[in-house]
Amino acid sequence: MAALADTAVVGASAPPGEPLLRVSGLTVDIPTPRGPLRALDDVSFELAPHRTLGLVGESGSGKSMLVRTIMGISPARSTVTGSVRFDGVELTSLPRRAARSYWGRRIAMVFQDPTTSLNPVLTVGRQLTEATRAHLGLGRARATERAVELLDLVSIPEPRRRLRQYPHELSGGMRQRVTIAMALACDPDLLIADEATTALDVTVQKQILDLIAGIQRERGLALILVSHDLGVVAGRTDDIAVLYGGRVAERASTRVLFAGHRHPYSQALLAAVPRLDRPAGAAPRTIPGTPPDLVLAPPGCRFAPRCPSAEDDCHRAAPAPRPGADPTHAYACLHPIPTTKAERR
Amino acid sequence: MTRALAHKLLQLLPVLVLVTVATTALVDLMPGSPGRAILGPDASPEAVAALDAQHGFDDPLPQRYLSWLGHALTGDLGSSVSNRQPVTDLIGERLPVTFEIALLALLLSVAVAVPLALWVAARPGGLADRVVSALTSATLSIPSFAVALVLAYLLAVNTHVFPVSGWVPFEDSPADNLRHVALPVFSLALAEIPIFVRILRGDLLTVLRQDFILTARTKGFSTPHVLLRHALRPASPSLVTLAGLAAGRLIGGTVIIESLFALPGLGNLATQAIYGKDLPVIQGVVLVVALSYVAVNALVDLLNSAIDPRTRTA
Repeated sequence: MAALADTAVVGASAPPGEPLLRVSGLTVDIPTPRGPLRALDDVSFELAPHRTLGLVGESGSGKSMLVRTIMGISPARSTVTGSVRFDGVELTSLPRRAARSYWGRRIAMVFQDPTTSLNPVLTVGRQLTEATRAHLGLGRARATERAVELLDLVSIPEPRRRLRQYPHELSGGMRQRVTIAMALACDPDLLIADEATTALDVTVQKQILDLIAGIQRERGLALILVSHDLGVVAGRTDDIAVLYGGRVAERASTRVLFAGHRHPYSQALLAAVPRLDRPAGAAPRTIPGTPPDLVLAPPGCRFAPRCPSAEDDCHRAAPAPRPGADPTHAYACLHPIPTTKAERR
Repeated sequence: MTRALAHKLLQLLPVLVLVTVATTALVDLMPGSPGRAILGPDASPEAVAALDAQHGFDDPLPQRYLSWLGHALTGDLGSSVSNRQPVTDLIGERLPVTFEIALLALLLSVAVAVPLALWVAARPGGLADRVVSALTSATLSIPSFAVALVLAYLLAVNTHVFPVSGWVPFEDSPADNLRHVALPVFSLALAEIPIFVRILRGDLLTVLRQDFILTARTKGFSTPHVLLRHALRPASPSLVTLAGLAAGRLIGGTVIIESLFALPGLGNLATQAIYGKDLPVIQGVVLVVALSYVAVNALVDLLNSAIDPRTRTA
């Protein structure tokens, strides 16, 4: 687990010290009839080349909104403030035309449900070749060859026959392999998998996750794995950011987060993961309450209403991130879980 | 594909039988006899009986229908009661006029509606969307003959840009022919365009909410590319179905427009035949219109299965 945790950053075209992706102070407001909904609130994190970041949280925690904003597909009327820098270039203020040479080309995304994320009326071949033809200027024949290579890469048998098929003629796992092949078409530096395995059954889930991990190793991609399931990201990420109510509750290297998390929400999420090594009868614990309403949310910690260790001051102001003992660690909590094994080790 | 088409056409056969039986039965619904109705109250009973016998109007329905069907299958639809011309000739003269106008009106409607719908769907609720929405509701509430009258008044009577009425066959002078069809085609298209725009806009907005549109956008494509290459096709089946219905309506029901512009089309022929109680002609026109409906329907099914591979039967 997290063997790469402290290895040096390698092979980026950005100036030394500049991470591949740096998100800082990212805030997204969506107008609703009841008032603005703050979907993301001052979110910051960094991702170095070749590394894997897990974004974890419940539904409504803002993890999908976050990656969609990075991909430039935040909802039509939303207002985005803050900064998304990719390889030293600010994406949020980039003219739409120029930004397109990043999205699809250097940053690519795989969506949750392959049944709906592939165009039902276009052949697999069309969908696999259009990006390379448009972005890389490949001719039809060359683009088709590339599509065959891509399908090979994601271990799809009989690639040439698949190119002529439509998405509905493929199984769910096969479709997700196609969307991964599509995302890899232009050889991106960063791949974002937004709950990419949630819609698949468990055995296929593992295959797809292993496939993504293998491709990442082989191609040296940076990867963002978005999941509501800490179990999915546990053995597959270098760092984890836990999101709650549109804010980063805690972030740390995967090792530190599992062993020495300080935020009660991280604790609750971990307790909710089903485990085989728990004694029989000890069921995963659910988190009481529901995710917060982000329209006109009260000041204070978003998790306070559901938090077992919340006190009066938690309701007054949003807690600022505090550094943990480990340099990778930061948590936004006024009454953190007392230091645990991580620091006693 | 061919088998699917044959199957479809076979399903439509009962429709044709039903429609033609019903028109044959018209004779039984007429007060008195067709001969009396055609010749008028002053004709002698002998003349009426002779006419009824000549056209077989007094035979029982099954016999009349089978006899008509037998002839129709060999391409003989009988002859007009009033001027003895073969019905096939009469229809043959009129059909090109109606087909040309219907086809041009349909093409114009689609050619205007599709870009307009794409344009407004790109920014729902935007200025263009609101203006077009207001315009379409306004146009929808005006019947096409009223539009035709206004157009004729402004562009033909007042400014002589287009002829007021009449017809020049395409073979004689293509330019003159187009000048003569322009106003009828505009009037007919103006009634279809708002419907087409609204349907396509609605379907486009539904499609644009789908995940695969987000996928296309994350692949770095521009809005026009996403609209044209990814959204238009999955959004078009309703439009195609609607256009098919419009085609049938335009072939069978342009009576008012044809009368207004004095066009020698199928609608005009039908009107004359109805006034003259010319049963063989009425029956011929009904057959042609029903056939067109059936053909257009089969075409719509074909088009829709070409558009959406999921509806194809293997």
